[in-house]
Amino acid sequence: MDDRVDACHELLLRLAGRLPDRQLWRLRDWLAGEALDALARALPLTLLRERVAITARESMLLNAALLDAGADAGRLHAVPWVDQIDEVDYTFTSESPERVNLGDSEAVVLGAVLHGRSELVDVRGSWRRHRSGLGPTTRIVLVTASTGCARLTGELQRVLRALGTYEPGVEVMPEGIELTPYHRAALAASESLLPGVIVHQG
Amino acid sequence: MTQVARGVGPGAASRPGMVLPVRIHDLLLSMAGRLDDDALADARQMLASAELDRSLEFLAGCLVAGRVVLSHEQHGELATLFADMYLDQDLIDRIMVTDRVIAGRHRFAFGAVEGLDPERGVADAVRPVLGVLPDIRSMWCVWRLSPAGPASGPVPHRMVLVGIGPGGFAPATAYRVEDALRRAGIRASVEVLMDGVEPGEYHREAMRNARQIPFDGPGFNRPQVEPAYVAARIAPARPSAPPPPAEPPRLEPARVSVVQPDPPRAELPRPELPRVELPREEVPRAEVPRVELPEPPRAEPPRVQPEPPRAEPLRPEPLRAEPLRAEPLRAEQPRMSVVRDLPPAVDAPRIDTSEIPLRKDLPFNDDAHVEPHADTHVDPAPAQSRGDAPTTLMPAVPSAASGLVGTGGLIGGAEPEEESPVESAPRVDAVRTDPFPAAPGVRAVEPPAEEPHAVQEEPRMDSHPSPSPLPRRRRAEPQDPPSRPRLAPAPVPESAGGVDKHSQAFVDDILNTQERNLLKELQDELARREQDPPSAQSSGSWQVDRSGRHGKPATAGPFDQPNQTGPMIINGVPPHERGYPGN
Repeated sequence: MDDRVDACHELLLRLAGRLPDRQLWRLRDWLAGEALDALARALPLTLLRERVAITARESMLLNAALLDAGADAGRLHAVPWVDQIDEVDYTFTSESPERVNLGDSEAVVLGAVLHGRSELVDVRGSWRRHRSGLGPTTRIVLVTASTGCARLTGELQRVLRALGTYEPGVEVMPEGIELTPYHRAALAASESLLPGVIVHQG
Repeated sequence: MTQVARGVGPGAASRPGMVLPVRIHDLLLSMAGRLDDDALADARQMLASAELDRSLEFLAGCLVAGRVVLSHEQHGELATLFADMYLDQDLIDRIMVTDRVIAGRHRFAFGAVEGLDPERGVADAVRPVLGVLPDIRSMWCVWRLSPAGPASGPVPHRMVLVGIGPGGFAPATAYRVEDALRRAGIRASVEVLMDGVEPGEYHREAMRNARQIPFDGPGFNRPQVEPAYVAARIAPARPSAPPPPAEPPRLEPARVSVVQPDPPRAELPRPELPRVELPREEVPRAEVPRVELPEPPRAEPPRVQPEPPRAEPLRPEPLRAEPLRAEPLRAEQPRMSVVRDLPPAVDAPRIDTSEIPLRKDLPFNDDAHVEPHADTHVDPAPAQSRGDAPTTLMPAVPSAASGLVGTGGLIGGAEPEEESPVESAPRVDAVRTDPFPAAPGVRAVEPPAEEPHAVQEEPRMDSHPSPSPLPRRRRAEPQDPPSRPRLAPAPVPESAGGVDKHSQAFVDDILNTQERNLLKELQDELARREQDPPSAQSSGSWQVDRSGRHGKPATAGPFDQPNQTGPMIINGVPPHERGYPGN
């Protein structure tokens, strides 16, 4: 079960920026709620409907995570493949132009929630904007953790939703994972979300 | 998915025959306050999009992941719906069930929260939607102060409660209203309650504290909603209207020609104006005589006023499309007669009838049109046709011709009229051409009908395009089938040169310009190949197929041979490669 959850979490992590936030946060919430069987039915269909192509690695994760959980094999095989994902439709900045002089209450709450967690490696934040310049600027919380990534993702998502972010962008990356271009770009433009707080457990 | 009627589920006992979407909608209503509002909104969106299975699976996923406890009744209904949709029941087996669901009581704010009224901005955001959705009877807004569901969004959360009647569509209403609010930047959950169905505790409590959005304001009342709907459509129509603005002047000249005989024609411009902005002006006409006489002098100002009248907007819509097409011919004549002979009260009915026939001309509703014409215009028509007919008729005819050219009688409403003044003779042509550009026989029939209005219209519709094209097609069809059996049958009928020409003529009448061009191209290619028999054989497969489709006769001689030899062509396999030489 844990292996499947980890595989599914990595898959959902890799789909960041490729699936709409509205669907992605919900799928991750289901994974955090251990509704893998519901994911097995919804995720392949979502990929097909959104016409999201996956890489060979992602296909392997998809099958490993969902095939035994009740996913329709026909739908899994119908998801198209792509060699690699290079294009990122978003740009990232370390600061939000919309919140220059505002207090960061989200960071305050996140700091309180994450305080003392042993699995945390790093907590950073970045601001994402679509390349077209359209749409709102979205905060992306970049957390590196050693274990329990799926559950932590769900937890932070719910916190951010309660604070007013309806479609939270929480990327909890397992330590040592090969990052996608999306996450590399986000990390490159990120800042520590909890300055002054030493999260790394060394 | 077919929507099977059944009588299972909460609240369904009193409504046997409820369709599946309504049952799912009711089930979602029972989940309100226990699932996050976004989950309900997403499920309702899927429901409104006819994705019933996806909606149910999504609901189950939220329930499982959120560990939401259901009552036996709710779970039973969910299981029934899953069964009806042939969904895997394993998913809902994990949902926790209890005999009695003890849900905490939600708190709702009575009035504004943090200085913000719950209804602020809602009225403007949903106005266009209310004009489209049927049988919406009330709308209420309230702030919910307590969180909902395990993944609740922020609070206070705005709720919009919509009451609909039996003629409403709950899933569609919920989705459309929520989407309209979202587009306006308002996050709110929309709960659509059916009149006569007892709401749950959650909704009753919300209603106790909710503020009703007044439907009496502009754009909200039912009669007003319809106008709002009209306005929405008018907007798109107006973009097309840019051409019309030019038209009014056109129409006026036509009037002028008519007016010359009649000194008092302040009223005439009105009837024409409707073409450009049909709904508004025409409506006022009909009402002007009735309610206010002063309006006549205000040919243009009525535009502003006409919108306020709410019951009428329904008329304007039909008028728009219609007047553009048929107006040129008949609208003018009726106007003439009406203005002169009859007092204002009489004028109104005349106008209506004149407009109606105009509509009918273009479409295929001739019968109804003809009758009204005859009734109102019988007297004036003959007189006008005699004296003014040349002027009025001429514009009308050219206008029709112009419409023909454009093939879009739709757009050319104004243009035709302008041209018409130049040309005098054939109204009939215009009329005929509108439905079907090339129908010589029809034209001959129509001229006699021109003299009396009513009579004219009738012959058009009856004899014109509709009857003629059908028989032609029928004739062509029998020929086609033989040609399809590619080689053997097709060539034989084609061999008859006269048949080919006839069929082509029929085809020309039936087909539009693009199709004609294609036929010409095909014929050209055939001619080339005829000149070069060997080359034709080499590429025979292509040609053979085409001849089988469109016109056997045209391709008969040269192409028949390749076709005959080309059973190879059937599967699209290159026949020309070596099959021909070998043969």
